[in-house]
Amino acid sequence: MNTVSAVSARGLTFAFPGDPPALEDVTFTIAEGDFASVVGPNGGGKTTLLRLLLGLLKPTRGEARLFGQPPEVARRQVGYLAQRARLDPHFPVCVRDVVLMGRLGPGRPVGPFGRGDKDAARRALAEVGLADAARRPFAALSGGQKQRALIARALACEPRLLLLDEPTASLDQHVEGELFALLRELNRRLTVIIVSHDLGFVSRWVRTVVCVNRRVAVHPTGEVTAEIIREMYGDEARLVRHDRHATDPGHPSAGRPGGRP
Amino acid sequence: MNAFLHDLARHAFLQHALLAGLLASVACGVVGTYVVARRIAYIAGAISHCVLGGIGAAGWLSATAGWDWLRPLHGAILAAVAAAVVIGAVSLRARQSEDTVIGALWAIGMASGIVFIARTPGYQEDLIGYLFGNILLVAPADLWLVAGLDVAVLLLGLLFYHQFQAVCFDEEFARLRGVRVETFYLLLLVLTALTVVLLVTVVGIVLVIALLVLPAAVAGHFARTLWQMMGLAALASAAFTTGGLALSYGLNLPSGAVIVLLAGGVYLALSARGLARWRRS
Repeated sequence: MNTVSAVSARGLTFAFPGDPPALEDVTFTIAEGDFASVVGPNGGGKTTLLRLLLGLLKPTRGEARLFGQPPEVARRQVGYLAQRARLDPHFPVCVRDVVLMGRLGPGRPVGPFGRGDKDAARRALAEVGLADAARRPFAALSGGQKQRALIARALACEPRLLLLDEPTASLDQHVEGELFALLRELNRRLTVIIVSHDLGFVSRWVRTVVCVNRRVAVHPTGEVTAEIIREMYGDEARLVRHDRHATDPGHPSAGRPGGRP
Repeated sequence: MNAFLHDLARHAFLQHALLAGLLASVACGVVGTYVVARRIAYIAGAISHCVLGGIGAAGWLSATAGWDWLRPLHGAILAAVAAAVVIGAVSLRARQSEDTVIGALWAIGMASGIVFIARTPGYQEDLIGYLFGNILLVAPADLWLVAGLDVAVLLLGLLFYHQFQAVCFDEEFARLRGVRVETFYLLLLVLTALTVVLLVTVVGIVLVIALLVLPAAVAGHFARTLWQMMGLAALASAAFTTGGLALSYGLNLPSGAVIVLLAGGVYLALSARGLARWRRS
């Protein structure tokens, strides 16, 4: 792995007006080529952190950097997937046109897309396994297919970094696994950072865990201990460990009902 | 219906009315689709009521200041575009007060129009026509302006199709790609304002939202892409305006109201069918 940082923050602090800081004095680095998951409790600042990294929010103090540059400069090198709930699921648009949105930008002339853009969209769709669905209505896709199409849109940006906010929310477990397999495949050539509420499942796939709860701590996946979890989530931590059994010492006693294998 | 066709061949005012309806339908298909997709029908409502202020001011100036060249339609265009820019600026700068500003403009536009019209000598009889539409009032001189507006709206609406589509579908993503989201949002509001003016000539200020939104909503039942929705909405709008005009002429009823009732009836029937299907499945 090379040592260029894909994402970094130094003394990053952000507060909405009149509120206590959502993030405070955050300093961390994610190396290029990493596969990282941002985890933490709801309201802990995960999405706020992402929005700061993308320059969609301005920090109160400190700074965020993408590939060593200010977010506004470098964010065109990011393929971003926001939380799915924000999109109108019945919007009349075909899958290919969704993917082509990844080709828009400041230099793009008016009128129809050119051959280069259409080729890029076709490659992106093939990469996520939706080559045959290009002409289908986006509204007719299943939840997992919709997420693949939106990942294809992010890939059509020809990014160095994929930044995905809760890409597997409300997907069933099987589809979730397939999506992670796809992300691991993409990680061969891209840095991938995903936000997840579900550390237990994610830790099987990612190399680095970014724990966010007003403050941020970064751990290699193997080092995430029960102490770290408890510190981050408080006593209500509920998670299923995959690498240990309940009989091991140090196993957090709370197993989630119906927890994932 | 036969009487309508017979008279259509003989009377220029009917031909003008039909032409105005068809021209407005084309812009209505394109912009109405964006309005429905972006869910800004209420903004179109505020813009349309501001049009009365512009019409009133133009009529007043033309009668009292001797500006004979100033037509009500000129005032309508200015007021609509001004309202669009104000609402756009507020919604981009201070989203929390957008609602209040839209409501305020809605009423202020209307009120100033009523005051201007009351102060204009020998003018009052047209008020009902502007409010509820009288397609038969379209003057031949207006038709050129209507055609010009139509071309401008179509050109801008279709040239930036992909940008508008991206802004309507996922504004944040478009912003991250470097699309000037604010510019396109303002442009969309201005196009909405111009289309509102076109439709005011057909159905009047109060009924404009219906004709802007209903054809696109009808088209939305069948369309799989925005392109299809625009084409179908334009066809639906043309059918509603032509059919409504013919019906109202035959039944001696106000044309704007009949056009809107026709559009609303078709939309409700389609929605009821959709609901029944959804229940069964």
